[in-house]
Amino acid sequence: MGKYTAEAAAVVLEHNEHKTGVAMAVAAVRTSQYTVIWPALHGNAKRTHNDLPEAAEQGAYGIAFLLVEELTDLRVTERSAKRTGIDYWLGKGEEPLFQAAARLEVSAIVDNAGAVDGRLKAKLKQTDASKGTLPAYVAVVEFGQPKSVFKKR
Amino acid sequence: MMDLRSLHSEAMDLAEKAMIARSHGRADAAKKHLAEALKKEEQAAWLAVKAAVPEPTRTILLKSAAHLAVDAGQLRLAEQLIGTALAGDPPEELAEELRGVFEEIGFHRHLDLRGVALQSNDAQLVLVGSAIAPGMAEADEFTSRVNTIERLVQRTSESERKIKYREQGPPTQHIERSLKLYLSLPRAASYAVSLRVADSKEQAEFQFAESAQVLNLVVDRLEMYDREDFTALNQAIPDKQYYDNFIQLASRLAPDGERVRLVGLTTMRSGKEKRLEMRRTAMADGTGAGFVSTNKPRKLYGRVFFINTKDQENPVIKLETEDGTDLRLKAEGDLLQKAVRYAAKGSRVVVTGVQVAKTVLQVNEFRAARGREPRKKAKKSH
Repeated sequence: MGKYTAEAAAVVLEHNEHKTGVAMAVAAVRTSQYTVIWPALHGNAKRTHNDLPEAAEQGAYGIAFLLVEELTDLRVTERSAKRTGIDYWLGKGEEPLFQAAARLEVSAIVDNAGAVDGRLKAKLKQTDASKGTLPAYVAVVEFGQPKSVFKKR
Repeated sequence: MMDLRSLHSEAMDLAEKAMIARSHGRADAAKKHLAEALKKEEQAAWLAVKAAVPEPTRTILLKSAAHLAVDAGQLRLAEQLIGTALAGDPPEELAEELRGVFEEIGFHRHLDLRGVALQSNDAQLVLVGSAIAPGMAEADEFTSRVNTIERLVQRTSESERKIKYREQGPPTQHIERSLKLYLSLPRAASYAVSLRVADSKEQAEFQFAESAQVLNLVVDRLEMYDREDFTALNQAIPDKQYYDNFIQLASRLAPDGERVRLVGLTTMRSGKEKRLEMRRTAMADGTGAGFVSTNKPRKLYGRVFFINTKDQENPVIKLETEDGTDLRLKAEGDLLQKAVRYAAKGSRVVVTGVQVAKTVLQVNEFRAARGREPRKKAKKSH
């Protein structure tokens, strides 16, 4: 799955005319820059990921997985099915199934850096902690600039 | 018997395989993996219920199995899984999602034609949301969408006939007469009604008739809009005015996320059902999707005339450029501090950045403009 999401991210980055080694700004507790590197895409990659918004969503998951490992002491430990896709849950790997797991909420933007703040607000509202429930991390990944925002709700 | 974690883990491996197979266009493999995933996840979910595992594990497994059941078209099983989950004590966030899946099952049922015969120039419209009750809908939510569909049909016909875009006024008499929209009585679904595009209400058309062809084009293009595939949509509607108009109309038809959460259209093509499920909520600025951003930097001269940093994560900085256009600037850290200083001084600035939306520039560099102010063109007096 990691390979699939990485390939999807590379397709969308190349769609936006980026080359391997492009800098991605990541706003988390503080803002940092990361270099995004990917191997040459195989011939069928663009055909496989020809639905660009879908590719962006899968690619955003790939980037979010890396941000989780880089910026927290958690990792993806569990999955559950959601509508035509998979929800990912974070933990330390020692907990019983889904106990103390944090949800990973991901939002992808193909090419519109101006939409990042709005998406983040929408996601945070969607997973509003005041509803008294599960902890969550929100990642918004924009492939045009490219930039990402990663926040704990 | 396999333990809960192993069963669930295998189910998710299969669900991921199904997703990847689907994206590779291997529909049969996707279906097979999905069926196997459902079988294992259903076992895991019932095992969790039997073993009285604590929340949220119980609900997550039941909900996960329900989603797979919906995807596999096993709606009755999905209802049973959701009913069981809701009968327990799910966390409120998950309970709300379960209700959403339940609503989705209703939506799928209502998209089913269930004996309603559609001709190739007919469509079934289904609405779901807080403004909708079985067999009843708030008049505005319903009539505005029906009017929008009629306009989409007429505009699509005009665009396909290469008629010059009309800024106002009615369509030609021929289009108005031959592509009229007729409605059936509503059915007690969430809210379902049949629409007919024809020149008379009894007129069923062959699939090659203009009314049927235009209806198919409208549904295909709405599908592109819902998928946010604006490249394909642009190719389908190359004329900018028709394209912008389509985006505006599609935004009006799309769900608003609360009062109308789902909009569905079912049509018949060569004897087969074609379903469109619009889920994406309408954009605030329907024409915004027409803006194609590039990474090419722009250099602009102007003045920062408004600044508001009350919301520190989303400060409002406005630049009036020398051609009189207002742009919102996105800047953080040092760049934001510079913007505050330039706004206070009212001095001319040079801004370099990337235009990321129609009226938004992401700032890369900010500096004071040197030299004299360019002379403004004298206005002609009349």
